[in-house]
Amino acid sequence: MAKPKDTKLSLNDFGKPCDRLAHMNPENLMPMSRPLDCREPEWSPLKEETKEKYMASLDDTLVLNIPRPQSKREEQELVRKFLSGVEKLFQKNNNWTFLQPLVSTVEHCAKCQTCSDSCHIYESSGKHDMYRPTYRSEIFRRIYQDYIHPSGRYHKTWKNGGEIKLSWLTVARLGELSYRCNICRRCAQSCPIGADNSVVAREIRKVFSQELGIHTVELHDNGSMLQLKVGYSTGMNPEIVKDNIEFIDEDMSEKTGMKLETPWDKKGADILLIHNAGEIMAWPENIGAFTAIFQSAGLNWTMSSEALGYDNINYGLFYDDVQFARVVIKHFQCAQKLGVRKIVFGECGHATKAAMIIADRILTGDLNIPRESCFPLLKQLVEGGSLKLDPSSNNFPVTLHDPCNLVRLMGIVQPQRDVIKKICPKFREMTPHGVNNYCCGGGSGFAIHSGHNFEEWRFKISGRKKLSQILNAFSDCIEPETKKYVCAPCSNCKGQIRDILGHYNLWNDAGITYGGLVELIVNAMTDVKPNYIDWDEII
Amino acid sequence: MGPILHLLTYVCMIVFVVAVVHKFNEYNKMPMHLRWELYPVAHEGKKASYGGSYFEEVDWWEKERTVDMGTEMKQMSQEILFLAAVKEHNPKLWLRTFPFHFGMYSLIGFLMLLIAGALLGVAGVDMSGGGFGTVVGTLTAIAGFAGAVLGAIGALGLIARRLFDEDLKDFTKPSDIFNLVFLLSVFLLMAATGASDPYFTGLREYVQSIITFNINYVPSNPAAVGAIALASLVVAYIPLTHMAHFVVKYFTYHNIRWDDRPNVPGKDPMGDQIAEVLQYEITWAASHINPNGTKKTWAEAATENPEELKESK
Repeated sequence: MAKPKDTKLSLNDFGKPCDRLAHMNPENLMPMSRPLDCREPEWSPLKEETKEKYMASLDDTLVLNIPRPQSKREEQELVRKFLSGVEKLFQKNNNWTFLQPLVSTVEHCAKCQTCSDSCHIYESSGKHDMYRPTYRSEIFRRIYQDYIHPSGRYHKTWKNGGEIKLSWLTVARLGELSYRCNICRRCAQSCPIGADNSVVAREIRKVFSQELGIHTVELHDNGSMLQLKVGYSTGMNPEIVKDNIEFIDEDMSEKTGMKLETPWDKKGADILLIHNAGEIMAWPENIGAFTAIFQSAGLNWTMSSEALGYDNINYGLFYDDVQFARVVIKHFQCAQKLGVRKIVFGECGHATKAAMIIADRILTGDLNIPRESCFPLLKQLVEGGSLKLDPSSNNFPVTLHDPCNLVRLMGIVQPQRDVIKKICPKFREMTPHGVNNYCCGGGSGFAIHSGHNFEEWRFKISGRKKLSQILNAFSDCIEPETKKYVCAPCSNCKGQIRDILGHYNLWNDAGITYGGLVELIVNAMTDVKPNYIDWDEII
Repeated sequence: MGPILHLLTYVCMIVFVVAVVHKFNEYNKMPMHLRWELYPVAHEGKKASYGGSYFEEVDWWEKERTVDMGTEMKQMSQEILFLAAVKEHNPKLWLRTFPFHFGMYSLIGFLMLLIAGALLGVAGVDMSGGGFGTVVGTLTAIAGFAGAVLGAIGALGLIARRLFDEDLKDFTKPSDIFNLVFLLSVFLLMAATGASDPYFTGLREYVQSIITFNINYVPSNPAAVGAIALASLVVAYIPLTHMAHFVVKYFTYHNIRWDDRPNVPGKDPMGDQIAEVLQYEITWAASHINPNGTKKTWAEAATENPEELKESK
């Protein structure tokens, strides 16, 4: 079947001055199943003042907010700094962190488009050319080959297929386009050569952050900077966090009938538990469930009240290696001070990967403290008999979302399944699942981005495939009378799934809600009050 | 004619070896990078079947890590010989690229058999007198024809796809078409050589002359001369282009996708390497990293408070 004309976009058009380079026509979006088998509404337009202030001509939305240059000099300065940053990406001193993954991709991607069909964003958009994993990489590659690589100037057309017109608009659009990728690396998984076009998206973000000082407010100013300053990216300092957790303990004690008490700053504890502190505000029942489980199992554990020690978030993972390293070092310094045997990370995919995989070649000596995901431990507790469980309490359809960071990128696939199969008699898998899963659409920090109309993009495009998987998993019981649960054991994914279900009104129209893994465990515990998952509380 | 042809072959062989070694060294000398693996990791043994890792175990750092080279070799051989990833993720492409690659593998086998035949010739074995010589001669003929035909079919299919497929057209560069046409001409000349000399006797004698430095030898078949000249040039050309992915794939798989070696807490096996890279000087210019343009190392940047940098600006 021929592609609709409005899903085509030539590489040579990327720098073309126009009001909007690409429009994701709702008619072309990937069809959904019942009850969402109807046409999507048009996009909410960006405000005129937004378009005047920022480069907003990529597609229907905006997230990076690159100010429009006010003079020719500013335009040239943007291009100059960008090229300077790209050059640094290929220098071992500046970019030892990702040099080999980047160079191997830039030099050897065959542009065979095998990766395109693996990308949920490309598929959901109705296969718009601009959202191919190779599209942004090819623009980047041609800029590098033409303007940085020593031999580029001699064979632009021969080797690169034509010169990319390098202007401030090309640069700014490329920066914005780097935020149309969830960096879930599903594309890399399908690449026969082992190229990784998602790493190019991340490296472009790095150029903007590390060289030009341009980043999204959510990831940088209100994210890693605030976290380094105060201790937590919402701005809550240690005292406020302790107060909140105390309140959660009281609330959840009432809910479970247990006397819950979070231990703080216990020197020499076996386990330092670090949550994604976003749970404190958004999902206190997740925090309470961990406390109930750890307390019931008699674990020797603690939380840290030191700044950053109670919040495992590390947004640097998505856009900036230096910010990443700064945050991760602080996390481990907190653990070091307490002298714990190991760190266990709560239900947060990016934070677990950041600390266990990415930081593995940054931390040495005393800072190289043993750490693990909570899933193997939860499996041990559930299977080892430390908890008294009655699966019939979870006698409703449950499906499991695989957070990319934990599953495809860490290989933690089975423990959470073993738990869920033990306590949820009506469990069913999504298709596909495990390491072949699809991203929730909130990956690489998108779940916390809602400015302008970006939320719509998260719903219509990046979250579309996951939502389709959820609806398909429950297709045999899609009527709202049957209450259903999407287990999303990752804070970022949970936020995205909450937002999509809410946007499409799927609690009312299909009876679908969401939550973490520990909530299901506590809901099945026989020595706590029933109905930890309270369907009546869901709005 | 003979000396020129031999000189071309010798030079192209040297270019190939130097370029491959250079490419390998270029990647091998790159500094350690951060872990960036992708599951399934082939050497995870039974866990590889579903993409699991040692992180699925409680206290994983206290357990002995097993690396199953059997599963890794199995997956590598499926990937190299049958292009398993393309078959799984892009079957349409596989129908074209598999014969193309397998044609090349067959021609590599053909070259090995030519060398074997040439050595037998040097040893005085009669290639048409029955016995081992005949077996080698027959296998040479099969490998040569199979390689030429499969390679030509694959190359034609790939050229057509590059030129006419809507998904690829925009990404296709003149050099992509040139590369494929270049290889196609080698496959076709090889087929033409075999058509008039089914046991590739002329090529075997040429290989023998290369080994014995008999530089005045020239095959009587013009197609064979053309095949020798173009094949020599292709051998030199491939490692100078992105087709050198046969070298780089080693790194993308072993050093990136499957590199799950842990810096085990308490043992710190990578401590020295990490200490080295953290001493690299960075020049990133953003205000939260280097507002004053002063020299600093990664270790210094990573332990600075960006709020204090703001104040010092």
